Parts: sequence; structure tokens; C-alpha cells
Amino acid sequence: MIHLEDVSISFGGEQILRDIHMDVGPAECMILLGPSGSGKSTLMKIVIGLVRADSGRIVVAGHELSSMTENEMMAVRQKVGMVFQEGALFDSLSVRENVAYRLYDEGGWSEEEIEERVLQLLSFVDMQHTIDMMPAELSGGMRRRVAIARALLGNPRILIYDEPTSGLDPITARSICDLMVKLRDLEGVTSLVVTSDLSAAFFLSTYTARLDEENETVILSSETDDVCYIHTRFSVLKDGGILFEGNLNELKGADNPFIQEFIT
Amino acid sequence: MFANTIVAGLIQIQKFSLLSARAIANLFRRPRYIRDTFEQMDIIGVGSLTIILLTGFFTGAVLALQSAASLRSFGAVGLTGQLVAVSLVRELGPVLTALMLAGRIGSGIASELGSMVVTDQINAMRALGTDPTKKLVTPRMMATVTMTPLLTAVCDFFGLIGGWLVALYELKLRSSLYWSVAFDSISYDDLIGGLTKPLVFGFIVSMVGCYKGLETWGGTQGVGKSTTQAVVAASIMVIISDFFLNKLIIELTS
Repeated sequence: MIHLEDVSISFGGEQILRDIHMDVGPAECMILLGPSGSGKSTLMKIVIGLVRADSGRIVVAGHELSSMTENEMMAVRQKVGMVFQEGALFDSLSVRENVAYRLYDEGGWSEEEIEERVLQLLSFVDMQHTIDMMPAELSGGMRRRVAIARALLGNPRILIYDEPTSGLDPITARSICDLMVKLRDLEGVTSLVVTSDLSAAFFLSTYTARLDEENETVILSSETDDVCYIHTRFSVLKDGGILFEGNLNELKGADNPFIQEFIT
Repeated sequence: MFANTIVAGLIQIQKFSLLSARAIANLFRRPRYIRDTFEQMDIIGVGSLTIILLTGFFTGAVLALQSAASLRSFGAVGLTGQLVAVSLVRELGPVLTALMLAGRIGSGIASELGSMVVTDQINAMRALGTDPTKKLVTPRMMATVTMTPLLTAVCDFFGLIGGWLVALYELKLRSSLYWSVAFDSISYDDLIGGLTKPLVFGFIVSMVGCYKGLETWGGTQGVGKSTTQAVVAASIMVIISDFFLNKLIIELTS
């Protein structure tokens, strides 16, 4: 779903990313870890086309972004959802207008159709009661949930999360992680997650979502339940390059002192 | 150091020109965001009415007061209406309206777009497949360009009323003398020139506001900086362009 080949970019003479190779398959979750300034956010913005790489090949959902114009990229972006740090909800629009932004933009949708779609998405993130509220009335966690609902409109097959749990209390952060796990395991959404919250990153790689006999969602842990495989991998970035790529066990077992210091 | 400043200045001019060209080109591309344009017209036009009205009224009143002292020495106080009308329609109305709009609208646009940049709302808009220049810049540009001439006309009209009240109660002139001298002195060319310049001023105020807003970086402090820069740059550009527009209008009408 996401394929990067020899991607490099520099700003003002400083090399931000250098010959990046990355592949993220369908329904897979790739977690980007690394210190501040390592190029994680730039890499994420390159994948959605918000920043253009100086060189390299970028293929997202079958579209080669590297050769596209800004207008052509707009159409591809509609197939990819992005959840920004702090949510980035539009201040002047209500929750309903934020979530249905694309529908209002396209035009041709009746108010009833919009209401139905918005309520469906808000119920997925358990935020139906906020439909008529303004973003300023929402807490940090609520903003993130509404931002996820907004990103889900149009059923994107790829979701990009920028620090989805930063600044949240552990309970709210856990609820956001539950949503991410549900989207990955039940909806088959490919995710690219930039985070500096290690507990959230480890949660995503040790928990999975399943449906029980009554069609209710249950979140299971690989440490306590019989869960054999979780589609999550890690990439550690340092100084613009990928220092490590692998699953949680490989990450914990890596003998690189920087990685050991970073994850402890 | 000097060369770097020149290069940085040229880059700014290039970026500003590209943004302006895109804003104009968007008028011929879909989607057109008509509703957003009308919303902006309401904010810019109706919202600025009070300050423009007050500016025009007191400028006209001061013009009448000040000019009467000079005209009296020539025994020409009766020409107060002419001086007020010509000064307002040709020069003060368009320039003062544009400067007031630079303070109110230019700063508002820069701070609104700047806040959207620093809170990632512009990136979110792009990520949702919307071109921010189409959704945010073109409606603001169109609304300001259409509203500025109308607000200038309001400024001119209330300036004439301010001058008339001073002429009537302070200078003890007859109303009919003031108004007939005022209307006779304004030519067709004055009106065309006086209402064409605001189109350009409106474009400058809105585009400088949008450009400075979209170029914001550095958090809330950056928003403050962009807002100040937008007002200063738009005001200076209005005054400089006024000179060249006057030259052009004089060339074309002579």
C-alpha cells in the first residue's frame, strides 16, 4: 500500500531524509520511532504529498506521487486519511461540518444523508453526542477521536497518524489506541504511525481486535491471550536514515546502543 | 549579507506573484466556493461599514474646517464643497478606505490563516483533498476586490456629509451652495479614477493578508508577526501603488 524507494529530501542545505526505503502492506501498521528532528514527520508528510521529496519513488495506494502535480495529488489524498497532532479540526466549523467536510466540499448531498453518515462515523469513535459542538468545546482526546472520524470519511484504505496520543492521559490514550487497533484488525486499514509515546507503540504491537460470538469487538493481548500474529512493525529513524526495521521482539533484542537507550 | 537580502526579497516577490496568479486562475476553475465568497463579502463589507463611515465623515469635516481658513484669505470660502469633494473622491476616499481595510481586513486575514497554518489546519485541508488557495484565498480576494470600491463610495459620501455639516454650522454656508459646488467640481474621470483605484487596493490588501498568513511559521508569536507585517506591507504597497495609479490615470485621461 505504501512503497518508498531511495527517498531523500533536504531543507536549506540540511539533509533531512536520506535514501529511505520502506514498504507497508495492506492492513499492516508501521510505527515510526526516533528522536526529534530525525525526519519522522517529514516522511509522513511525503507519504501524503504535503511535502515533495527531492528524489526517489513514492507509491501510495497504487499511485506514483513522485510524478504527480498538486492538482492530481488532491484526488489521491482523498483516498488517504490523516489524523494530525491535536486533531487540527477547523475551528470555525462544528463537529458535524468537520466530519462531513469532504461531503460539503463535493456538494450534492442532502442534509439527511450527511447527518446519517456523520452519526455513523461519530458512533464508531463514540462521539455521537458532540455532533453539534464546536471544536473549542472539546477536550484533547475528544478532538483526536473526532479527527479520526473525519479521516475515516470516504473509507480510506490508508490512515496516517501524527502523534495520536501525545499529551493525553493514559486512559484517553488507551481509547485512541483501541480505535487504531480496531481499524487495523477489523477494517483492514493500513496505518503509518508517527509517535514518541512508546507505551502506545508497544500497545499497538501487542494487542489485537477480534469480534466475539455476539459480534462485539474485543481487544486481546498477545501476552495474556492466544493471539499468534499482530501486523505491526517498527522503523527507527536517526539522522535522516532508517536505523532499524522489524517487529517488537526484534526491536527489543536489537543490540544497537541507541535503540536500547531509546526504548528503555 | 546584502546579496542574501536581495535574494530573499526576490523570492518573496516570486512567491507573492505565484500566489496572486493562482488566486486569479482559480476564478476559472471548479469548485468555486460562491458561499464562502458571500460570507467574506459580509465580513469585509458590512463588517467594515462603521469604521469606513466614521473615517469618511470626520475626514470630510476636518477637510472643510482646514480648507476654510485658507480659502477665506482669498475670499473663496464658497468653494469649500469643491475642495472637500475633489480631495475625497480623487484621493482621500480610496486611500483612507484602503488603509483602514489594511488595518482591519488585512490583519484579520493574516491572523486567521496564520493560526490555521500553525495549528496544522491548512495541512489538514490539503490532506482532505482541498486546495487552500481555492477555498481560502480566492474568496477573500474576490470579496475584498468587490467590497473596496463600494466602501470607498460610502467613505466619499459620508465625507461630503461631514464637510457639509461643518460648512453649514461652522462656516455658515448655504447647503445649496455647498452641494452644487461639490457636485459641479467632480468630473466623470474623477469618479472612474476614484473607483478604479480601490479595485487594485482591495487586491493588494487581501493578497498581502493571505500571503503573510500562509507564510506564517513559529507558533503564536509567528501569527502576531505575520499580522503586523501584513498591515505594514499592505499600507506601504497601497501608498506606493497610489502614486503609479495616479500617474497612469492622468496619462490615460489627459
